[in-house]
Amino acid sequence: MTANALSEKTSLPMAKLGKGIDYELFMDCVHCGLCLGACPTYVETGNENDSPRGRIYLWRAIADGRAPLSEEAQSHMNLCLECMACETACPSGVQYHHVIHSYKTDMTMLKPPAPTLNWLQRWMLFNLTPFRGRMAWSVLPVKIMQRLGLGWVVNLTGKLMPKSLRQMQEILPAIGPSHDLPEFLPAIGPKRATVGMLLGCAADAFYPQVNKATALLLQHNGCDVHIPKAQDCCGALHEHAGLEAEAARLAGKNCDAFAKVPGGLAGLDAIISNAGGCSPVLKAYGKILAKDPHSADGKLFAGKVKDISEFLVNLGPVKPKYPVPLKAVYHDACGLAHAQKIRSQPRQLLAMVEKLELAPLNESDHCCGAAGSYNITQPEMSATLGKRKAGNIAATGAQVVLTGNVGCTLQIDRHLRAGHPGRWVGHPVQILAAAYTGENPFGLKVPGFGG
Amino acid sequence: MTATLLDEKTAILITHLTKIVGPDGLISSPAELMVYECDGYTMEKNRPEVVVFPRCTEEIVGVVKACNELGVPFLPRGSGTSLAGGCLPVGGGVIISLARMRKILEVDIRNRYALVEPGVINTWLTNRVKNDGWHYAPDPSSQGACTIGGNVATNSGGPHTLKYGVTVNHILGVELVLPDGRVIQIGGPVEEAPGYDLTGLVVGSEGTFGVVSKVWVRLVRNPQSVRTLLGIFESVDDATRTISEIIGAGIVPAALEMLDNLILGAVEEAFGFGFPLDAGAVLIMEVDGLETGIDDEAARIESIALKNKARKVSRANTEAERMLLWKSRKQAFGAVGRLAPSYCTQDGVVPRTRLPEMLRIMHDISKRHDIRIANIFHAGDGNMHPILLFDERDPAQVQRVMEASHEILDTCLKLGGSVTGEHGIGVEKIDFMPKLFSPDDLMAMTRVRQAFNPTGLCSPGKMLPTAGACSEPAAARQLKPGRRAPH
Amino acid sequence: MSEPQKIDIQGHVVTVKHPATQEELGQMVHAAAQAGQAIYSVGGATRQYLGLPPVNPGIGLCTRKLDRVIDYPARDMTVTVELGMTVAKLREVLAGENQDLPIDCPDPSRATLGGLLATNGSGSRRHGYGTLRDYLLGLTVIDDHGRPTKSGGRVVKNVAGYDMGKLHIGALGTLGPLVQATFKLKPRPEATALSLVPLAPDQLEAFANQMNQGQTRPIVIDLLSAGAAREFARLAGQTLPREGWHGLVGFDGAEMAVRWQLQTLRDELRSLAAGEVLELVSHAGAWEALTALGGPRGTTGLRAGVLPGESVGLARSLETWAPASGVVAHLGAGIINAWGDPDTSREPLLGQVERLRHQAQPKRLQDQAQPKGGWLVVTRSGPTARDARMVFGSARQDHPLMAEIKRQLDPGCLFNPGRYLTDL
Repeated sequence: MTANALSEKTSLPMAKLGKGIDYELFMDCVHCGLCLGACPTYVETGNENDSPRGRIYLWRAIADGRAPLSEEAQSHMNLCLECMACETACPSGVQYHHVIHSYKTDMTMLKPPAPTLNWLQRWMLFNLTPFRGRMAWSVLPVKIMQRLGLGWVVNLTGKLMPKSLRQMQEILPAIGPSHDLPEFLPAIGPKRATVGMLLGCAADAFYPQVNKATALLLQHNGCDVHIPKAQDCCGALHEHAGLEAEAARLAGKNCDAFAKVPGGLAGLDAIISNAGGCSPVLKAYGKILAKDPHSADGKLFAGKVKDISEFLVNLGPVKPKYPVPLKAVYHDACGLAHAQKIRSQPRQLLAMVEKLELAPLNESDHCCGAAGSYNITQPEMSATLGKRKAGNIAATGAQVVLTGNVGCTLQIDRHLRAGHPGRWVGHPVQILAAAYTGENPFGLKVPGFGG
Repeated sequence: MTATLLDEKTAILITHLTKIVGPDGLISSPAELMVYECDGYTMEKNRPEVVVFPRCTEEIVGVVKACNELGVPFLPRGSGTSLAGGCLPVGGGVIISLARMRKILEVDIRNRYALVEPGVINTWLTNRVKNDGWHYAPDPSSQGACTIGGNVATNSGGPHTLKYGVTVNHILGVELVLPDGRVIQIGGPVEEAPGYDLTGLVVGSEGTFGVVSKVWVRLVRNPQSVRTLLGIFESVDDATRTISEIIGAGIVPAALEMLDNLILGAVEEAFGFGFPLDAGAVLIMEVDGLETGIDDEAARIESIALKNKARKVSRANTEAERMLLWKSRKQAFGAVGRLAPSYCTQDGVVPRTRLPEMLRIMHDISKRHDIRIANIFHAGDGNMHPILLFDERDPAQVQRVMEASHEILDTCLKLGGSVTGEHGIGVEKIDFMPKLFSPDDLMAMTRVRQAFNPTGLCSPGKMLPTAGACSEPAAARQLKPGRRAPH
Repeated sequence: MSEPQKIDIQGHVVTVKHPATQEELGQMVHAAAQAGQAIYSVGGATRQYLGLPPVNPGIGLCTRKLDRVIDYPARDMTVTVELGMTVAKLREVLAGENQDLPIDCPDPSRATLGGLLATNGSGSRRHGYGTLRDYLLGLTVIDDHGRPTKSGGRVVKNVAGYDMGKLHIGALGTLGPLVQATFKLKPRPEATALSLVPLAPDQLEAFANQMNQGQTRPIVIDLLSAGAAREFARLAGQTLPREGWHGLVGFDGAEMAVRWQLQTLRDELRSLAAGEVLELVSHAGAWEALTALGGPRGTTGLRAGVLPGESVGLARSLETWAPASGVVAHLGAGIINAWGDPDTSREPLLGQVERLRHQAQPKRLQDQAQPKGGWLVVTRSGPTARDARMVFGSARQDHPLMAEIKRQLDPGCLFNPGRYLTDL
């Protein structure tokens, strides 16, 4: 009844839906339901339409013309976090990301692009709000917009932006990145590798100290570090939103930037990212640039991308000198744990730090609700998951929460401050940097440490 | 019942139910109901009219009473991981999803029990108590998704039930919403209250006795130590003889799991664990208990395996190595998709000494029907999950798979076994009930069901071939086997 | 074997028949049903004191001639037998394969397996081995038309059909005579040991708590009152070094593991034990004595169940309840057996029992109208006449459902009428 009415209202070209996907990918799902317990949205709503099995079934039924693309159906599909915990749980090797990507791509083709731009802006504002009072927030959004290459967005849909912000965008000259890292940093001790380093945009704006710590870690582990200034946003947000052209443009730009370091791309042993949300997309540059003049560079680039923890564990990390007497928990960012299967490496690195107690965290690989722009598109579910995560963290009694992705850091910090204040949220590299240098991590007092 | 009647009734039903669970507490649009038309068993499908998501016992009672007033069938559903169609709404009607009743209400370590709502996922309970050194013992392979309520309904097993027993051995009591809406507590945290053991009866009743709304489960202390061994054998016969001899030697392993050559090939292709591809079978053998003496027990198992011509027995020396071994067992099913586009899993049981014979017959069945059969199973208790490989696009193969499947299950019966060790009867195996039981046996079971469920509105068409008011056994014929993920 | 022609069931004398086969038994049931006679299954007639007196005239059915081993595939660790077989005979059969059905039975040479099932017999080893519901794989009973009906099967894992066997365990034969069953078996342990730990009266809770969290994994965790400890020592042919409460801890398994546990227990209880710990290693007589403690003693017997953490409290109350008392508390399960010679001249037994019943409720539930937790049953009542209120206490929530099951399976009220809960 309602479904028919809705499909008339939306008047979508039903026949073409879901055709961009290899039908065998649907067939891989045997409907066993083992993904259910791993899916954060299903765990919250209990509705199987909000589970991977349900979404695959729904999208397949829509592709088959067996079900209409009703508003209800869309709401279940849109509620997906794309955390990929289901792929970790699936015994049959279902490639869920292709299924949800097929939906997202079809939806961007069906819908005008304006809303997509809106959420990008809203993402920025949303994530900046908590920083009011802590930082010069009126400057920050502009910086990020510039880093994102989205200055033009402000002019396009200025309605949503505060007036002051629009003015700021017009008045301010182009601002450099927040960090003060040079383009090259030499290895400390015997040289073991030459690496490039990615800064990320949000991370660099919000937590420049994470980039500093990452560079320091690499140096202490015998790496020459190249940090080209011409690098840009990785394009992950664009890719996830189905904005493939913009993602390819940014990917190409980054290939060019790293190709210009002495020795070129081929001379780099690895390109290091410290943002779990960025690296899966960086590792997919080969695919993203497949039809681009940069395709060869894209493949080369993608092959060299490593998460900082993944790289250091492979290299054989140098044991840090200073103890860090804190009780910490580690939250698995989805981009690391599910998209890249990087789970043990950050823990292995942290285990080297003397006196650091790494307490077990219940549901450590359950999405925190940040999920890229999810906190804008699905604020309620995002907040529910954020609270759940904060509750699990609080139950451990840890003072410190470590996670390898800036989106998670923002989300967890926001919800801890709201419900369980007095805890510090940061990146594992910050604790490791403290253990190498004996200096306090930014904003955290460690007993026995100076500065 | 006719379609128009059903539609009118459905509209009234939805109005009734909305008053009880609120507009957010149910779904009724065709697209949203789609995923509820089957569970892990996909060969038969039937869409419910409504799915409700009660949040407490009172809401379940409201829903059940509304269904009674309107004469609409209803059945409970956990995570819908049944491999036998236990959650298939045979007569349509209302699915009562318990997925929003997920609270662990009480954990009492001193008194060795926990009180949980039925929607609590199996592993959550162990996660909750593991830091205290306790666990909930039944560990079906689907434990990351399946619910305690679902485990109660099907009396679930799992690899470690060889030593620790199945679900019924760990359930102390339940709160049950009877099919007429009455709520009763059966059993409870105190053991053996005078009266019939209704708890033991309700466990495994596949939802036909009402809707379980709370469960008291027993908690078990973790073993002090665990040893896990991997035995590599030239033939399945050697491996099954080893199993027999281990049990015969008076050793009660925590788990004894076998993978045959066909499965090994798939696992190796998928994960590259380094299994020898020419091995006939491998055995994962686990013992647990006190640290003192456990190495002796492991050594005894090792020597039994070697005596039975094991090529090699290796021991997991670290927890990481042990996890790796278990990964090979638990993920093996996922790899089966690499062998063929479709597969169908059975759940037969034979006395464990008949395993070699059963496997030989199965080999013969495989040859005769020209259907490849991979074997992976809980060898210690004779519970086999033969996986029949085929391509569902070829109707002739589908037919041969059906025949081979039935022949396997008939052989299990002939050898003194059963057609289901842990997946349940559901709708899938309902036709086998008259082969397992005499009409008098079934009549006794029917009488008991009458005591709980006289109108047959609760879970019609399940377990007993004559079941339920809306039973349509003829309509629920098996037409084709689907691709299946076994436990 | 002597074959009594008459038997006294709680003061009601009935004529006993001795069918030689299951078919003959079925025919007798059928004939009785036709004649409107009740059927009192008596097994080995060792525990006819349980439950309530018969209410309808009828015949007794003794199953002891039904004692064949139907199938014993030892390597499968299962056995299928007829249930008139005595517990002792089954043990003897199983001993040949070094296996056992590890359920304690105080009078094994007379008690039948059917009786053991119908009364849900269990003893001290239940902590380590569980109870009959953990061992019964398949069961055949005779229905109200005299036809055999079976459920379950002969394999250790099987979920086909309703688990009817559970219904009959502890049902005192009220749902039909039990004729054949398949049991899961256990290997006999290599070594066993019992440790008798003297305890000061203020150390009982500490002992119970320690046993719940210690390093050892005992199969027996009992608490014996002074009277029970004395009786145990007498039966085991030992002398107690010290009077008073005793903890009794049992181990079995590989010899090395048993030795390690004895040593560990000694270390863990060092500060608790009020005197010298008596260790009885591989002492068959000690285990027999412990099992025999479950037999009838004194004029009156009580059996209670509480949360394990509350069993010490009730055990104390039971010890002071009557003169010449003995209390054996299975601390792991919270099941307590007590006996004594209560003085009913000052207060009727019912009053005494109701007071104890109140104490059997978990503390937080004591104020609730509907008792949900603990229970107390009068197993034997000496000269006092038995009625449902006194024997079982007030009806529980699930009794109407039990009554309905009874009505369904035995509409003519043929099987042991009146002998179980009155509302059945």
